Amino acid sequence: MNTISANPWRYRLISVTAVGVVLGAWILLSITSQLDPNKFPPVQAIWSALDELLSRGYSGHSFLEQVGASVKRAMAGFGLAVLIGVPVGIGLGNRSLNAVAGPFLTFMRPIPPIALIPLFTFYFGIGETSKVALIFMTSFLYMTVSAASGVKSVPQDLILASRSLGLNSRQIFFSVIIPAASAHILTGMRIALTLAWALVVAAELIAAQVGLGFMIMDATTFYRIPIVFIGILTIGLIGLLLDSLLLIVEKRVLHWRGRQS
Amino acid sequence: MHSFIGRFFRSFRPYMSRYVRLVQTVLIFIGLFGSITTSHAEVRPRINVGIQPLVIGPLYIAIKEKYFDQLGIDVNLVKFTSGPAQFAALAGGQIDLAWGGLGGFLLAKANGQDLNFVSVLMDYNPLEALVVPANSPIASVKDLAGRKVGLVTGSNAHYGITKAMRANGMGKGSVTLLGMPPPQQIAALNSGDIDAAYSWEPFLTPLYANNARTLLTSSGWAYLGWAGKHDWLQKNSDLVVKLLQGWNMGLDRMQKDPELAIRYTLEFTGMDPNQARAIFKGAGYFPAGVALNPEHPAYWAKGSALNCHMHSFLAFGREEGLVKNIGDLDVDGYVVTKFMLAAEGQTTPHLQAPITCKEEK
Amino acid sequence: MSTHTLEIQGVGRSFRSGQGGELIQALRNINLTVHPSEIVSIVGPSGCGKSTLLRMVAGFDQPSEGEILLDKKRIFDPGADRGIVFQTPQLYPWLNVFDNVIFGPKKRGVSKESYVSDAERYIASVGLKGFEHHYPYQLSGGMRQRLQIARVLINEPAILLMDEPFGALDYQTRLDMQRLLLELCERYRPTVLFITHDIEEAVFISDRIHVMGARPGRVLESLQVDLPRPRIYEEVAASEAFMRMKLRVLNLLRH
Repeated sequence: MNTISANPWRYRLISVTAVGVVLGAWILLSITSQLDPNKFPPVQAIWSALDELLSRGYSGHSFLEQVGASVKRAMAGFGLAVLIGVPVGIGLGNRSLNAVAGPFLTFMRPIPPIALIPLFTFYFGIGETSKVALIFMTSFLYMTVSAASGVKSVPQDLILASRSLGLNSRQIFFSVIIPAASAHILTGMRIALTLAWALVVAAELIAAQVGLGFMIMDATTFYRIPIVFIGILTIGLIGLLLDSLLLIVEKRVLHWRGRQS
Repeated sequence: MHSFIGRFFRSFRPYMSRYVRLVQTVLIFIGLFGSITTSHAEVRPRINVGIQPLVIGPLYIAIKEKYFDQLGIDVNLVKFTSGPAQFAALAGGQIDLAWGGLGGFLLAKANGQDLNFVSVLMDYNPLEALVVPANSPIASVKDLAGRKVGLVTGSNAHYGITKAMRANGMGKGSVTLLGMPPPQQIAALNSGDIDAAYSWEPFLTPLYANNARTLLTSSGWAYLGWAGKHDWLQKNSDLVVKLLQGWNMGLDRMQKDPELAIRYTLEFTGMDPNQARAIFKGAGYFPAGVALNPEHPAYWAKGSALNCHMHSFLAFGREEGLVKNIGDLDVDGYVVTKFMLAAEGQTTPHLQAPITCKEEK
Repeated sequence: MSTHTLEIQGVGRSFRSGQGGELIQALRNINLTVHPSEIVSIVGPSGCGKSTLLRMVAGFDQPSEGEILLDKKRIFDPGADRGIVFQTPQLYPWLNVFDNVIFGPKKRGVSKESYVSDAERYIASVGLKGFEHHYPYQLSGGMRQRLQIARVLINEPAILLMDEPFGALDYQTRLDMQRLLLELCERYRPTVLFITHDIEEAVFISDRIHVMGARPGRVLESLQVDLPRPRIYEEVAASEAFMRMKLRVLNLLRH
């Protein structure tokens, strides 16, 4: 009987109930017209806006196209950041490379991406390149840190033990250091993905013609708050979905970590 | 050497499945990225025009009804959600022409961008207004003394209120003018952070929906049309002329079939249908050559009403510190007539003896 | 495996403390020999430099003075001929037991049939048969140490270096591991250099004990442990000879 408290389904039930209560309160307030549509749209407004989005699309593109455009940009920026960031981060383990590249990377890291929008617009134009570049840059800076710290986190004794097993430096690099660093790298990837997705709205400020961020900004222009809400909710849901997907990948690849955090 | 390479790649094998999967996923992302950036081969000459989401009926109709195709050009519409972004793209060459107000581009010209305005196409005066909330005690411009007004710095609205304050004998600091983008003005007016807002459609509709009252509307200076860089205009004359001809065709069609303007507006912008209708009713649409007509308020010649407004707009820009104060600017040559003439099939404009503008006090 | 001799001749190790600090002598004039198939322990208090000495034999560090010779050849770098067992098992967490054990020979290019059958043999002899597909996170502390030992033994090193290998284990497990070590030594007859601060452990397993003192690290005395083999803990631990040896070492360490 005392195993009920440890049952994960109990907590899932509590979560679902909590969300249900909030939703229910919102519906109730909407039905009784307690909500000021200028500040917080009632459920009916959201519902009709959603209906319009799904049937007529927004500003010449279907809702799916808006979502797809944003997802493509985020994935492209993220993908490049991983492909380039991981080798660079590992390369930063080399003292000379770190001395050369380190100051620039450290300097760029705290710069908020939004501040770079005008510059990126000048350099990369108003097409996809500037948006992907912005997303890439932020994710990349984060991946290099992850990869570098992953490499640093490999215990010195593990490397010494490997030498005493007869491995040479190249073997140690590929067969010991990289697998050992993969835990950090995968966790870094999850965070880099979250960053990339969060940046999509900012990136789409660069004259996007389609996308969730564009939809939110454009709908703001026309003060169509229900559409703004739907845009924001969709961004949140997709972010959650992407993170869950990567979490599944992480759990499978890093199954050997066991229950330690 | 062989065995070294062999062992090198063989050493990967235990991690192959895991890392191959990773690399595959990443490659798919790259592929998607690549697919976005592939461009189609161009058949017709292309002109990139930037707009902000407005009810630009004739333009949308001309695109959708393929009038531009008939004329042999490809018009690529690039949408911007803010003026500054559009200016930057025009400056950077990512768009060839930008749709906007005469005054704004004049200030940009005064700041060093060699721009020309090619044609007056829309009357936006009735759609720009200084409004106050429904329950406001403010009844006239004079009542704004000591209050806060939200507006876009350097815009027609800014010019309008400055003129109105001067006409009412109000000193420069008597009203606090706060610069903020239009969506913020809506929020600030609703929350009471500002007492009045001078804005334009589509940003007025939400305010009118809350029964905002109009204190005054713009009159005489709020005209919209295309502006572009001088050099580009010189080199692409015929593209500009065709753009204007397409506009005329779209305008004709719109007069026969006004619903088309609404329908296409909803496809090109995220506007709400009722909002689009309300704006459409208030706006005036002109054929490309209207600035050649001495009878029309939008007539452009040295000393015409519109011309004088622009001189005074430039003076306003200088006083407010919005433009670099270097020497003379050829305001008279700011609007060029040759494209309009060609579009209308005329060769020489109606000339009027040049008049100098009355000095504004 | 049992034909190798380790000679430590006049070895000293000094460190400079910090930047431009004084020279600290961690080890001074260490002389000892480990003969083929001998089990030699080094016992001493913390800080006497016994781990430093072991790491130099492993090739992780160089002596400031003197030489370390394996079969008359100087040691410079780590290698598979000197296998090391750390106190904290340095296992590859992403590999299961079997893959951990075959790691060394596989990387050195040994043939697959050869290392697979060796692996089965050594996994069985350390008592991990049936756990081949387990991952390190699923093993207890004692089992992880057994895995580390198997992983080293499969390489058939000239000398087996053990740095306080059972120090982190609980008392019962420690006894089990000592017993296991003696069994393995009886079976495979490796040459062993064993570091510990546990006097009973040293007396129980060793042929010879070198007692070290600290500051500077030096050999105080070398003692021959003449207890007969095979040594069963229950029989040996209570014997007089065992007690006497234990007290001798204790006395040396006291002052």
